[in-house]
Amino acid sequence: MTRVAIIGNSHVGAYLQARDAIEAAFPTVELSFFALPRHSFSSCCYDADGVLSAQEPPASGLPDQIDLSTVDRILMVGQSFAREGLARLVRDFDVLGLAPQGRARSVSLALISDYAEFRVDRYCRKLARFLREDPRCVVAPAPFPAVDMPDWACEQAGWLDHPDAEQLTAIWSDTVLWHMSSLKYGLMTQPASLVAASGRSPAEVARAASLPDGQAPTAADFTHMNADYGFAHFSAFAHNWLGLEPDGRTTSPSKEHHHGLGPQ
Amino acid sequence: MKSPYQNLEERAFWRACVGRDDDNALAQLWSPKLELGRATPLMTAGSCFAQHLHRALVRGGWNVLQGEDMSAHLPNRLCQRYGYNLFSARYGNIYTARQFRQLVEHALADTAPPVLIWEKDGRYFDALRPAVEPEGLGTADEVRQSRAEHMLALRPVLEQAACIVLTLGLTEGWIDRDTGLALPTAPGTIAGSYDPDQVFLHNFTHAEVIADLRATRDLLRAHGLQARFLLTVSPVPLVATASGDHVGPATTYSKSVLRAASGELSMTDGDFDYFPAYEIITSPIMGGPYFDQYGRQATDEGVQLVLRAFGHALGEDASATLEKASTARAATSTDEETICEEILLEAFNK
Repeated sequence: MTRVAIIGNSHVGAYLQARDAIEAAFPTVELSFFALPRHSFSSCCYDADGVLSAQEPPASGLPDQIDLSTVDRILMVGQSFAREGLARLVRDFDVLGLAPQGRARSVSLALISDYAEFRVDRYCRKLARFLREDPRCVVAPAPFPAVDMPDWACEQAGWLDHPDAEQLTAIWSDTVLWHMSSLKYGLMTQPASLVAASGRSPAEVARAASLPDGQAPTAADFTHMNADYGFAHFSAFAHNWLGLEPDGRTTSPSKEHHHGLGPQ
Repeated sequence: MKSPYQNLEERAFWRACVGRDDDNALAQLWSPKLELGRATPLMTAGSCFAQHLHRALVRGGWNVLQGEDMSAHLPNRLCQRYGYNLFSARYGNIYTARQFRQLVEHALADTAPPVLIWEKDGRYFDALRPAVEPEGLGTADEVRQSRAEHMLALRPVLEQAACIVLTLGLTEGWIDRDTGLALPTAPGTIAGSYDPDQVFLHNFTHAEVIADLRATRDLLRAHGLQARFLLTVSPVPLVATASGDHVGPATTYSKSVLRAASGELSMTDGDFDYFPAYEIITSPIMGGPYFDQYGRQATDEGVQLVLRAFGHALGEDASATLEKASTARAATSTDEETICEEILLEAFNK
C-alpha cells in the first residue's frame, strides 16, 4: 500500500468528498486527512516522532492529529502563497502600466512584483519550517476560482476580474515557482485539465456546481471545489508523484458523493 | 558688583551642562516656542535624518499626518524601498529649503505644476523624487500620473498640518536651467545624465534659506493655512561637495548657514522654532559627538538621545512614548535602515 496524507485547510474537503472514488480508482492507495485549525501553521505542533497535532480544539468531527511518520507521501493542499495580499493591493490601487480601474491612487508594476516576491518568499520559508522540508511533501496551491463566479462574489476572486489578470497571475505564479524550486518539497500546480481560463477553474468542478437542488451558493462555493476536482487533482498527483494511474471509471465522483452512491 | 550672568539658570552655563545626558539635562536643552501635544497634527519632511524623527513620532502615537499611507498594505521594507511612510507624504528626501518651498508651491498651485522626467535604461524617473521608484516607471506618462496623484495627496496634509517638522540638510543643490526647479540630487546619480548646459550647482546663502522658508510660510498663509515650523538641522555631513572646496569646510558652511538661518528665524519670527538635534549629535554638550566609525552617520545612541530630548521638553507623556518608540526602532533597525540618496553619490564615486 502507498499511504498518502492529505493535509491543509478547507480545500481538503474536495479530496475528502472524493475519498471513496479515489480509493476505488487507486486500490493500492490508503488515504488519511488532516485540516489545520484556522488554516494556520502556527495552530499545529509537529513533534519529533512525526505526529502533527492541533494546538487548539479543531472543529467538531475533525481529527486533532495525524501521524505522518508512517506515510509515504504528504499532499499539502489549498496553499494561498500570499495571494490575498496581492489581491488587496490590486483591489485598492490602480497599477501603473496596466489598465486603469478608476482608483484614486496608483502603485507601480515594479512594486507589485516586489510585493509578490517578498510575500511569497516569506510564505515559502514558513512552509519550509512547517514540515522541516520533508521531501515526502508535495504542496498544491489553492484552486483557482471558478470561471462562472458571479459579480457579487468577485472579491473572492482577487485580481481575476482585472483586465490584465493574466499578467498579474503570471507574476504571482512565476514567483511561486521560483521560490518553491529552492525547497525540498514538490510543487503541484493546477493541472491543465482543471484550468478553464487563465487563473480560473472550470465551473463544473466548483462546489457551486454540485450543491443540492435549491441551495443557493455562497462566494466560497466558487473558490472551493467539489469531489470531481478532488478526484482529478489527486489523479494528477498520483500520476506525477506516485507513478499510479486510476482504474477505469465512468461516473462523476461529485455525483456519487452527492447521491450517496459510493464507489462504482 | 552685579553681572548679567548672575542668577541665570543652570542651562546657561557650559560647565554645568556639558557631557550630561540625564533626564534633567535633556529637559533643559530646548524650551519649545510652539505648543505641541500628541494631538497636534504634524507634518514631517526633510533630509534622511528626518526619517528618524518621523518614525519615532509615529511609533510614539503622535498625530503625524500621512497623505499616502501604505502601512496597511506593505511591509516596512517595501514602504522604505518605495518611499512610503518615510514622511507625511511620498516626496522623498528634501534637502534644501528651496526644495521644500517648491514642493509647497506645487501642491497649492491651481494649475498643474511642471514635471521633470529623467530616463535611465528605458525606465522613467520623477526628477523631483527619483528614489521613490527604485526601478523607475515604464513610461513618462506614468511618471506624470504618479506625480499628479502625489500632489493631490499632499494638499490635504498641508491643509491639516498645525506644525511642520522640517529637517534641513544641505545648502548645495542642483538647479534645472530650463525649469528653474531645485533637484534633490544631481542628474546622473540615480537616473538622468549630467549635462552642464542643463543643470547647474547652486550653494544657497543664509539670506536665501531664510527667504525660502519665509516664502513657504507666506504661501501657506495666503492659502489660509496655519502650519508653523519646527526646524532642525541634520547633523549628517555632506557625502560629497561639488563646490570645489574640501568636503570638510563645505560641510561646515552648509550646516552653519542652515543652523544660523534656523536660529535667526526662531529668534525673530513667531512661526518658527528650532530644535537642537544638530547640537546633540555633533557637540560634546550631551556626551557626544555621536557618529559612527566613519564620522558620518549618527549612532543609534545619539538618535535616541535626540528623541529623548524632544520628548522631555514636551513633557512626561511625550518622553515616555518617544523613548518607547526609539527602543522599538533599535529592535527593527535591519528592516528600517535610513534611506538616503546621498549614499548613491558615494557608491557612484567608487
